[in-house]
Amino acid sequence: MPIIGEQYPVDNNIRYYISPVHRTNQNSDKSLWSITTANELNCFINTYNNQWIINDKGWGIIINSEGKISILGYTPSNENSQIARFQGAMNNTHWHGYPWDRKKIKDKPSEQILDIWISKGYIDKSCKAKIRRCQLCTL
Amino acid sequence: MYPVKIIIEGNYWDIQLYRGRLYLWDVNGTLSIYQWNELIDSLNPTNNSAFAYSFIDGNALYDNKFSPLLHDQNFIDFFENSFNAINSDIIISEEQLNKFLISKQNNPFSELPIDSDIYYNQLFAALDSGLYYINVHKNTKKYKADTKSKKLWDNPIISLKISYNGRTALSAGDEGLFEYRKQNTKYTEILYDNLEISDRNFYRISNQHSLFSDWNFSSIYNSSDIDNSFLAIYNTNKMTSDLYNETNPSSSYLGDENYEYYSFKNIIKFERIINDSIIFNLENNQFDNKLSWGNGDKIYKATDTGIDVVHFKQYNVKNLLNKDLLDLTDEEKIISDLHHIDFHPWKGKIIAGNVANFGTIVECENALVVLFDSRINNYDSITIQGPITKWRIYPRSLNYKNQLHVVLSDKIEIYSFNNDYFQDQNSKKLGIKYTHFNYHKNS
Repeated sequence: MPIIGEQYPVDNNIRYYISPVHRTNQNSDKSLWSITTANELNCFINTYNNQWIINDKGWGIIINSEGKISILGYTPSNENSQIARFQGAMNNTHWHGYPWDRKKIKDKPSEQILDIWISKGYIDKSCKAKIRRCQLCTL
Repeated sequence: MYPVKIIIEGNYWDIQLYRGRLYLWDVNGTLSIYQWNELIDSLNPTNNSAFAYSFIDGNALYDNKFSPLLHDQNFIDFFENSFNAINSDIIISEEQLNKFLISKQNNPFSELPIDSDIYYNQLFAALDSGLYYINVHKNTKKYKADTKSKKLWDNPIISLKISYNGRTALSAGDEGLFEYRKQNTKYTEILYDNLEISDRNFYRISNQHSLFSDWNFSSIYNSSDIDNSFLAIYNTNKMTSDLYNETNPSSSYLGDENYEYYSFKNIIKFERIINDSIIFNLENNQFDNKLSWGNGDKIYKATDTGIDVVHFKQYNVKNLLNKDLLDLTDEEKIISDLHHIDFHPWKGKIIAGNVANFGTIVECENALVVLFDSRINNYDSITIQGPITKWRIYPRSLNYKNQLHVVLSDKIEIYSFNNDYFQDQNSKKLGIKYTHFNYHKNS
């Protein structure tokens, strides 16, 4: 199981960091993962492989065995979060992530990524609209 | 009286109706513009007047000229029967719609609009990349709207609303609530010196979370389901010409050269913010995670058993200059008449709301609910099943304030509510009180 505070290789020079900031509730303004560190890492690997990335920002979802999008964490407002937000650094070679908090307008998934998810049948037009408006939406 | 409905088939993203033209964005961003009045006429071969009023001139029956008729039971019965007799299963196919197409173009914006509003032939759009606008209602040969947008601001926005006199409220999530500075006119001057300037012409009213907002006259109601919603109160001070030295000596009234013309100017200035916990008398001023919203003279708050409503009196804001909110007498109060309206069950958590003249609209996770006053029952409601992509009302429009537009998965439903003409505007609970001055000119 990946260890909090450690980095793990994803590709040639791409590494993912399991940040402790989003694993403990020391900061009341940070969203927290509810999934294991292994699932967090896998979520980023899936994002990276699908290139759900725009510049230094990435977004990920976890599709469960029933074909539904899983809850992967919760926000400081205690809302469930189903979208992971990943941030790249050092020329996008080092990444970390956290559950998306819809309060944070600049963190929301880009329209391009939402269109990809629609094309794959993960979300519908209505969800895209609500996500873009930062409204509550159960995917 | 239930609404009349028209259905437009197709896979759309957004809709606007302005000055007789229908603007539709499809999911690929193509913007198509149609002749609305002609489209409605084509659906009304028998020239049914109720149908025409429903969709072309929703303001007409508010006119004072009709007031005696609206108190005549014979006329009320006639008109209600006329509205109820309209066939409510009118479906417009894409082929039928295309007969009224006057312009089709690529999306003039770099993204599909998250929200938009139109004022004086300019359509403003909220995008992830900021605030943009295009000129619309053009009469050029090929395209009736600009093909390229112009950028006004690069802060992401999730909602925007333009007031009856052109002021623009912008909701930017955790970045807060902003106002886009409007140019002063001969009759209106807005003072921004007590607001934080964010960028040229953009002023931050609050850094509290803003999901969406709307106008309660000169004031702004900011809605959030993460932080407290609040009312940003602006005071309007009416100054006559003898105070600001503008006269019009060349004007005359009915040929009387001795008539002295006194002009006036409204000076509008931000005063303070009042949280919804105070507006709705919540204990300990706590945030209760329940959404509230406002428009015109009404403010609403969702509860577990229905909605609460209060009246907002913009004309009493001046009393706050000399007194605390809690020290105001009943006649001086800006918030009054708290009422509760039972309604259950809500169709999932409430995620948005707004108020039109005809009623209040509540967006739940799974459906849209419209609550409206009824002459027969205390109130009535309709539920529009989701998934809802977008819904829009036109409370400040000259012609369309009785309409609700709902973008669904494979169609748009256009509702026309015609119950409000017969309501007592002073006593109704669900819907903005109609006055003759709360609309956009030329819309």
